[in-house]
Amino acid sequence: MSAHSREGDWLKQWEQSLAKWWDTALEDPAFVRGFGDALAGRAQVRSSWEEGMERTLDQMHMPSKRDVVRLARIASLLEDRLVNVEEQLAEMNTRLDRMEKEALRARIDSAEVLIRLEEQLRALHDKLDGRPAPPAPRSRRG
Amino acid sequence: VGSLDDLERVSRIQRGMWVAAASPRPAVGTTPHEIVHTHDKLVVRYYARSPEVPAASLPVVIVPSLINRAWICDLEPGRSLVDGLARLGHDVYLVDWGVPAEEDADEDVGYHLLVLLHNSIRRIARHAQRPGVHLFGYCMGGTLAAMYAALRPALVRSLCVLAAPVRFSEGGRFRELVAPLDVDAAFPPGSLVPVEMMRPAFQLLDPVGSVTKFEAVEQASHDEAALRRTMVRERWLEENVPVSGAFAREFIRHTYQQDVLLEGGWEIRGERVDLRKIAVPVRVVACRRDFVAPLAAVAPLAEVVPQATLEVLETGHIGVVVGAAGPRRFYPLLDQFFRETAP
Repeated sequence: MSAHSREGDWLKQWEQSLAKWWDTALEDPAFVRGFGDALAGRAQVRSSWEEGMERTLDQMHMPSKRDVVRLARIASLLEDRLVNVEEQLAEMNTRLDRMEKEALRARIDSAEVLIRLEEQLRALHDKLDGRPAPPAPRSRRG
Repeated sequence: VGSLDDLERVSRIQRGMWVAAASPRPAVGTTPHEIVHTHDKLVVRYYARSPEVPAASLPVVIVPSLINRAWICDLEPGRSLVDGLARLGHDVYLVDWGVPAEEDADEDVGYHLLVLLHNSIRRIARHAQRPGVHLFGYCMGGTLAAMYAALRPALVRSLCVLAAPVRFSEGGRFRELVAPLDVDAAFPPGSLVPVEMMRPAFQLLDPVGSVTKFEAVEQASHDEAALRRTMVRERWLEENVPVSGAFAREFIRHTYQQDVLLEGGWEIRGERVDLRKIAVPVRVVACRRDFVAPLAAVAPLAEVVPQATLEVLETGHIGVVVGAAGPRRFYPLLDQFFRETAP
């Protein structure tokens, strides 16, 4: 074996064996269960600790963490509602803007129609002014 | 000779550990921006596009993972996804989920998707004064973005997901770790997923790498810029975000344990999530060297969505955004996709 091929030998072996060990460990249900148990155990310890704190603070008539969390949740719910109201207002604004634009468009359209009609009427008048007066309508009774 | 080299390497790793422990963590998220929406702990950050390039017609909404800080998309100048896209002419909106506290412990997936994200996207469309948005999701954020596009498609004009798992039975080591978990016992009602358990869990995904990486730290310590870059990456790995227990229980159960998302077996507040219904152009980007979201877990989205294409990059889970491949390969790829798919 050359010096070059030996380079990094035992460190590489350590890396490989650790990787292999880890692969085996993950295949072992007991190992993975251990990770889950650690999480569950931690949650349980924390819960017991908080229960104890809660009782102590309750006896001392002091606000506990649970009270603060409860208040924060209420504030959070209120914020949700406010955001919803804000969203609805924004949507209403968008709709109003659209309606305003449509109403303006309609007014412009009708004004344009009115102008055209007036022009036609004026042209008609001009034509009528240039002609001899029409004969008076005959009596229907004859 | 080999043993001496090994000893030298061990010594470098040791020195790297000292350097990592003693080096200050650089500031992150420094690209100038404006906050345009806040709701609960969520904040939407707006990064205006550069006026020097032709403007893209629709804004880009970035949805990061819930377990990372949103500044992973704005690590430092030159390696910032938000800045990279803004320089390419896109108005960028970053959805920063924020850090939940105990009062948020019962916020489920439905709340995050149908309340927080939905309101944010409506607000963004109004702020940008555009009829819709391009949606981009990274990692778990990509999975959520795809679910959102299926559930509330009205404002979504295109979707790009990066390293977003959808076939969770192919979820690699992370799946092996969380699949047997009793989620009800591990994350009981009223609790958050503790960050102090998250970091070791991620280290366990690559136990060798979590030691040998200090060799790179030692090497970087000879150059100020390189050290800064390495420490920024360390911040990414160090600073996880707690997740609400309700979210974690629902997400892990439907994904890593039952793997029902692709088959349409997940109901969010009574609505079935059917990814096949996504009717906009979709680009699925997977990374070949990704052990958090392996290629086999990411690629199937491109098979079920009618207008989807798959792009495989030769990088890892983090390097794709902040490595050299980010500005050189990935940002232009996003730019091209969003411009092509703009109506």
